[in-house]
Parts: sequence; structure tokens; C-alpha cells
Amino acid sequence: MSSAPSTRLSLLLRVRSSDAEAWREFEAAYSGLIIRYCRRRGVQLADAEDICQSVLAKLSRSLRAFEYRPEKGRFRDYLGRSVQNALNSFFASHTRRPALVSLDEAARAAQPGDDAPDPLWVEEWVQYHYRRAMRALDGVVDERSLQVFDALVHGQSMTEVQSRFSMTPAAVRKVKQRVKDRLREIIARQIADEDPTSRPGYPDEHR
Amino acid sequence: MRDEEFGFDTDEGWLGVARRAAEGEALGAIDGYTILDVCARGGQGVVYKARRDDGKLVALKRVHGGPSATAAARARLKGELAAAARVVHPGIVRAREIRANGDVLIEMPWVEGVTLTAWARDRQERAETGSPIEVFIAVCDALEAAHGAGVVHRDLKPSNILVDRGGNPFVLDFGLAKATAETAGTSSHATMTHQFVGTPAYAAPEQVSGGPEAVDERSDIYSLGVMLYEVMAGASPYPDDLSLGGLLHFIERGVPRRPRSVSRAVPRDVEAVILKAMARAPQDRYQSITELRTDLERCQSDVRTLAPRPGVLFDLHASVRRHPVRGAVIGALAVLILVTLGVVSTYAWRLRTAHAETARAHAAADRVGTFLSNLFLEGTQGDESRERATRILDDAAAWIDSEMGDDGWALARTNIAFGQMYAKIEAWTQAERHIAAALDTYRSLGASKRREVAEALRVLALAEAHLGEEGAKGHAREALSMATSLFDDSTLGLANYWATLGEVLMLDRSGESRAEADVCFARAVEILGGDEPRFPTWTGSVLTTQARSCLETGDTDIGIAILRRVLAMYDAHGIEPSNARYREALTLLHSAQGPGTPPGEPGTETSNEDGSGG
Repeated sequence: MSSAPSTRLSLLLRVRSSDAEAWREFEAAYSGLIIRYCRRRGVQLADAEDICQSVLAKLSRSLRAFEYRPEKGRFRDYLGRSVQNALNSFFASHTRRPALVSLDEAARAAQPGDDAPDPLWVEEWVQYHYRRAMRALDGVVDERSLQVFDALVHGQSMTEVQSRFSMTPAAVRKVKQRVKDRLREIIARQIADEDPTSRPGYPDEHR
Repeated sequence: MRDEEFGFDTDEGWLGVARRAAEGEALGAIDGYTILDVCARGGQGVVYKARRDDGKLVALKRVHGGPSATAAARARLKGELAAAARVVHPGIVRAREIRANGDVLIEMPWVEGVTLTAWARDRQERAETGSPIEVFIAVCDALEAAHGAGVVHRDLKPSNILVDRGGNPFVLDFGLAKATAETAGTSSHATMTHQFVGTPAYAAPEQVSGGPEAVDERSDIYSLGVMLYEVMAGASPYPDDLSLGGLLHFIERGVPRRPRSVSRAVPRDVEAVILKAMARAPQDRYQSITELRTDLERCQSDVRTLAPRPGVLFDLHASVRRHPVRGAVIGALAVLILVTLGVVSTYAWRLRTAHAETARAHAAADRVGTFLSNLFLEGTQGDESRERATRILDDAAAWIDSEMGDDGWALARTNIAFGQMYAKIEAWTQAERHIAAALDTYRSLGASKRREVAEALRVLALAEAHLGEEGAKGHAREALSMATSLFDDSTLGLANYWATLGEVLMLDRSGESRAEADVCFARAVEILGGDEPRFPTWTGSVLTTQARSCLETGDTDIGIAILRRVLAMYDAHGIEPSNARYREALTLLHSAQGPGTPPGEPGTETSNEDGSGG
């Protein structure tokens, strides 16, 4: 898998070097994912915020203490477990409020130690990366391709897009391929940013 | 990265995922708003991207504790935000306080942009050229409007400045820090924890040490300085790995590393602006954001800034601290060395940019150089002083080396200045090294024949002669011939070249050379006005050199005679015995006359014209 060359220090490493702005960036990047996931697990927005806050507070300490070791597994799974644990304690302390928690949730909470990441978490994680990458597309793809992609993403069919932009099917396919390639590059870079070990080359890690 | 996780392994799979991500369910609702996404989460709370029921996109910030805690605090928050909202400027994002679902929230218009940090880094990654200074000028513009209205931000940091795709900055959170600080009370550390939730890394020293009342617009200027530092140098001005307490202490007491010591890419003028904006004492900073903006605009247009170049003001501090110097003279010397180096490099810089100023620059640099040399000599009488002077020079040389490596002309010129200084205290090895480096630089720059090269060759010859190396005579002659072709006959500076050749020949210790040396010294004295010296101390120094050479080569009587003549000349011209040159000659005379001879009344030394070389 080729990834766009990046010489910058990965976000995770910058967080570890006690870079306050990096931590802010980290929070901004991942709190959306955490809160979204909590919402999908049936937690109220305000509670999701609290859970997110407790996860991030713990993470801030554990990352700096190098508790998370990239070579021992993906950051996605490490973060997923942290959120899972926080959710479990949340559910545990709210078990008398069945309105909040489904039986399914209770069952999940009762089975700690299952290392396989929750498919829901993985799905949210994938979407989180897509969202970030789509925001980043702005500067790297031309305006027209962006519009075509936007139309496709918002459910327009190939034929609709062809007629709307007066393009041949081949031209639309070309745009699709271009956007796909760019997205793939951007996401690869994002993954490298959160999982430094997956990055080929690994340059410039010193500060 | 695994392609299949993202649907990249199929033609259509990825589009499906993109679709789901784009549609992404709303996160929830708060009275009158649909929460679309979480866009930031800092110490002050969560910021959501939301759609107001009227369709307008907004940022909603939920503030933890502090301002929302009590009714009074809420009123204050409301007041501060209202005050800030009166500032009308496109670069300032206005905020208002709302209440929804019983929570206090702050609503701002949605700005599509990235934080200043992310913007700067992306820029760097895309290797964009051009200067990020424009963005800072625009930030200054916005702050000017706020400060003009009496509103100080108090918590400027990269996450409070968003930059859109067009490079336009938007400053957020005006009024928020003040409301938070006042709510937290005036005790400084209580204020700290609330005011700089997340990071105090952009706080000014007075914000760290004083209460909120110590804060004014100059605190904002400091914060901008830190950000400019980071954007330009790509690193924080403060040491890495400081604890929160350590960081606060460093902001209050420490000396930040210079931007150019982190990255050579920072232009010198920009460095000067950064350091002035980041001066520890508010009164040493720019006094208004307008001043800062004006200097930034000057950097843009490459005109000299008002901020003094560092090295003079900045490194002095660190350098003096590293070197606990006992004598006040040496302390003053260190100042002068650094000042002169600043001047020399500045003039060298000007030489490159404005040829019209060449002559004037040379003259001024020379005047300063002469002034310094004399003072330097003044302070280096005696072995202990000399030792200290050598140490200071060594230190300064190392600094200069690291500092000017990319600036050939200035570096060469500075190396010559060092060579001259070392020569004055007879540290010949160092002198030779610096001069050789200067000559190398000139060679690589293709400058074979110019004043500086002649001067370098002259000092090189001296050093070589004293170190007993070959080549001294050749270099001295080369220097003289180059100088003769460059200067007209009446140029007093030629005297030095003749005197140097004389000294080198004397040190050669052959009879033949000796005769020629006498001619050289005589020629030098003649250029300087002969029996009616234009500058008695200059003539005196040439003769003293001749005398020293005589003493060193065993011609004690002649040496003594010359020294007596020098002292008589000084007396005749009203040169005080306190003058360094006078003392130099007198000390030499006493040492030549041996321990038995008491230091007599200098005025009574009778002159003896014999062997004077005149």
C-alpha cells in the first residue's frame, strides 16, 4: 500500500512529546468518533460527552506514559477498547435505568475481555476517516471533480451525473477513479498518522 | 491500511462508505439546534457544528463550569461577549451566549477553516512558498480593531485562530477568557487553571505571574509572538518536555531559544520581530498591535524592521550569564563585541542589498571596529584579563559560527573581526584559524581582490609570523601589494600594511630582513604624518610594534630607545598616561629595562631618536 510521503511527526508521537497543541488536535479529531459511537450505542448526547471526556482524560495519561505500544496492535483497537471500557462502567452504573440500556448493551457489558473490536466501532472508525478525508479533498481535487463526487455521494446516478455535467460515461468514471485514488492516499496518510508503525519509511521521528 | 476495510478493493464499495459517511446521522439535538458534528474539544468544552432551526450553520460551544456556574458569572459572560461583539471586523468571530436545555452555550457563526497550527503544517507539507506573514498581518488587523475598542483577547492561541482556504484568519473566543478569569477570581493560579485550560504555552509572563489586572494588549502581542515563532521556526520557543509547572516557570524566568537556532529558514528580520514581540517585560515589546503590524509589513517588503537585531540585546543576556565575568571591563567588552558583530553583520547585509551604501557602510564599520579595538585593548592588559578575553572570544566565535553559517559575506567579515581581536590579544592560533576561514569564504564567493581580503592576508601574515610558520612574508607582501593597488597613496590604512610587513620581517630574524623591516616601519610612520603625526597613538602603535619586535629579537637597546621616543611623542601631544597605548608602551619599556628599574616618571624619559625607524 503506497501512502503519500509524510515527513512530519505523527500526531500520536507529537502527543507523546507533550505537545499541547497536538493534544488539542487529537481531542478535536477523535472526540467526534467517540461521541458518535456512544450515540449509536444508545447513549444520550450529554452522557456521550461525559464518556468522551473520561476516555480522553485517561488516554492523555496513558499515551504519555507509553502504555499504548504501536507494535502490539492497532491504535484503532486500543482506542476502541478504551471507549468500550468507559461505556461498560457507564452502563454498569446505569443498570437501574433500563430505559437507557438495552439488553444487548447489558450483554456486552457483561462480557469484558473480548478483544475483538465491536463491528459498530470499526464502522464508525472507517466513516470517521472518510469524513476527515473528504474534508481534505478540497485542496487536492479540482472544483469540477469535487462537484461530480458530491453529486455521486448524494445519491445521484451515473446517468444523472452525466447529463447534469454533460460528461461522457468515461469522463465520469475517470473522475471517480481520481477521487478514489486521492481519498485512498489521504486515508492512508491519516492511518499512518494514528498508527505510526504502518507507515513505510517512518522518517524524521525525532524532534 | 487495509483496502478492504475502506471499500477500496472494489469499484463501488468505497462510494457506498463515502455516502454513509457524508450522510452521517446527526448526533442529536439541543433546543433549536441540530448537532451535526463534533469539531473540537478543548479544555473549555466541546464545540459542535450545528444547524440552527432557521437553517444557519453555527458553532456551538458548551463551556464547562466557570462562566455558567452562577447567575452572576453568567451575567459577566454575557457582558464580556456583548462588549466583544461590539467590535466589528470581518476577522473577528462574534459570539453570543444562549441558553438551551438549561445549559449555557456560546453560539458563533460557522467558519469553514482549520486552526492556525494545522494551516501552517499543511502549508509546510505542501511546500508552499511565500510568506505566512500575510496571515499574521491580517490577524494584527483584526486585533487592532479589538484593541481600539478596548477589548483584549487574553487567550490567543492557534486553536483560537481559524484560517480559511483563502488564507483569511478568523479570531475566535474574544471576551471568553476575561469572563472565565473574572469568574475564577484574581488569585493567579486559580486564574491560570481556568484561563489556560489546555495550554499556557501562549501566555505572556505577566499572565503567568500577575493577576488578570496585569494583562493588557501587550499580552496579546506576546501570544502572537509565540505563534509567529512556531509557524516560522516549526517548533515551540520553549524547551520540550516541560511539566506544566516547569513551563509556567520558564515563561516567567527562562530565556527562549532563538528562532534561527531552531530553523535557519527564519529570516533575520522576522526573528527580530518575534523576539521583540516576545520580550519578557511588556514595556520592551511592541507597545501596540499597530507597531507590530507595521514591522511585519516591513518584513514583507524587506525593509529593515524597528526591532533591534538579536545578538545585541538577546544573546548578551544568555552569554553573560554563561560567563560569570568578574571585571566590569570585560563585561563591557562582551557587550561591545556583540554590538560590533551586530553592526558588522548588518553592514555586510546592507552591502549585499544596497551597493550605493557600500562606501558609507565600510566607513562606519571601520569606525566602530577601531573604537572597539581600542577599548578591547584597554581591557586586555594583564594576563588574567587576556585569558578572560580569550574565553569570551571563543564563546562568541562558536556562537557566530552556528549563527552565520549561511551568510557568506557576513560570516567572512565577522571572521576577520575575530581574527583581528585574537591578534590583538596575541592568540595567534585562533587568529589564524578565523582568518583562514574568512579567506576560504572569500575564495568560494569568487572575491579575490578586495579590501577585506587584503586585511585578512595582513592578519594571516602576522599570525603565521608569530607562530613561526612559513608563508608569513609572502602573505604580508601580497597584502601590501593588494592594499596599494586598492587604496590611494594617502590612505592612512596603508600604514598598517607596511608596519605588518615590517613586523613579519623582523620576526624572520635575518639581517637582510631586518634592514628591510626598518624601511617598512619608516614608511608606515611617514604615511601617518611623520614627525607631525596625524594620529599620535596610531604612529605610536606602529613604533611600539617595531620596538616589541626589537625586544623579541634581542635588540633591547634599540627597542628601549624607540619606546622612549614614543612616550615623549605621547607627552608632547598630550596623550594621558591612562591611555591604553601609553600604558602599553610604558609597560613594555619597564619590562625591557628589567626588574631593577622602577617605573619612573614617564614624562622624564628622554627621547632618543636613534633607531627610531623614522
